[in-house]
Amino acid sequence: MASPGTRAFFLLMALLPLLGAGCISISLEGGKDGPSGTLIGLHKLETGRTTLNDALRHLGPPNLLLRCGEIDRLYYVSWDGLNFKLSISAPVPFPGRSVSTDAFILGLGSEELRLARLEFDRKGILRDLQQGTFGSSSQGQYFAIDNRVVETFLEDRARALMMTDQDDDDDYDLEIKEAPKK
Amino acid sequence: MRKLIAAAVALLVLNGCYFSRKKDDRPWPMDVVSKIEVGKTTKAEVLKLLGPPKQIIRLLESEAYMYVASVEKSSGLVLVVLNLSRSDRQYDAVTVIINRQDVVTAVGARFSGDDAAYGLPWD
Repeated sequence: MASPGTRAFFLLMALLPLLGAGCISISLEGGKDGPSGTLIGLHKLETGRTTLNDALRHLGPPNLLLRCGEIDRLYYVSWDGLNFKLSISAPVPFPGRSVSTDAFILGLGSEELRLARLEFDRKGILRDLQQGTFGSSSQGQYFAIDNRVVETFLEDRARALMMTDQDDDDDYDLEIKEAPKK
Repeated sequence: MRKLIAAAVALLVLNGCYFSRKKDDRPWPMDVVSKIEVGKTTKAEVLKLLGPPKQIIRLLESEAYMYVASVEKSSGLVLVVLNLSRSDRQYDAVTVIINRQDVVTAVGARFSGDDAAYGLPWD
C-alpha cells in the first residue's frame, strides 16, 4: 500500500501535463525534402565529357535549372532536419486583457543540405561540377567548408523565383493593355 | 490509484494525432515518359504526352520543360504539452530539354512521390 505522500506524488505527476497545458510546450519536428540518394549518381559524371542528356539520365530532373551568362546551371538539392523546441509561456498581468509571453525558450536543431551544382556550356557539355553536404546550426548559419556553393544556390533560387514573378507581372500587364481592344 | 493513472495516461496519449497527405498536380505514368526519345520526339509530341509544363526555362541553346508533381505526407502526435511532428515531401518530376528545331535533346525523369512516408520526427 503506497503512502499518502507517494500517492500525491504520482497524482501530481499524472496531472502535471494537464496542469501545464497552455504554459509549457515541447515540440520535436522532423522534415525531409527530396530523395537523399539523388547525388549517388554523381560519380558517373565527368567534366569535359558528360552531356546534359547523360546528367539527366543519371541524376534525374534537377530541382533548379537556369541560364547564367554563358552557362546553363543545374542544381540538385535534398534536405532533412530535426528541431527541438521548449517554451514556457507565462501570463502577463494586463488590466482587461489576457496576455501571455514566452518566459523561456530552448531551441536545438540540426539540418543537412545536400547540394550539387552542374554547369554546362553552350554545346551541352559539363564544364564544372561541385557538390557538398552542408550542416546547419539552429540559428540557420551554414558552417560548411566552402559555403559559396550554398550562397550561390540561394541567390540563383531567388533569381529564378524573381524571374517567374516577373513573367506573371508581364502577363498581367499584357492583359491590362489588351483589354481596351475588346 | 492505478485507474486514475491509467485514465490520465490515456487522456494524454489519445489527446490528438493527425495524418495528412498533400498532392500537388497530377503524376504521369512511367510508360508515357518512356515514349519520349532523344533526337526523335518533337515538342508537339511532348505536349501531347505530358500536357503543359509547370515551368518553361530558356537555356542557352534550348528550352527546358519542367514537370513536377509533389507528394507531402505529414504526421503528428499532440500530447498536451509534447508535440511530435514530421513531414516528408517527395517528387515525381520530368525534365525535357528541347532544342531550337523543336526536337528533344535530353530527358530525365524521377518517380519518388510514392516514397514519401509517415513516421516519427527522427526517422
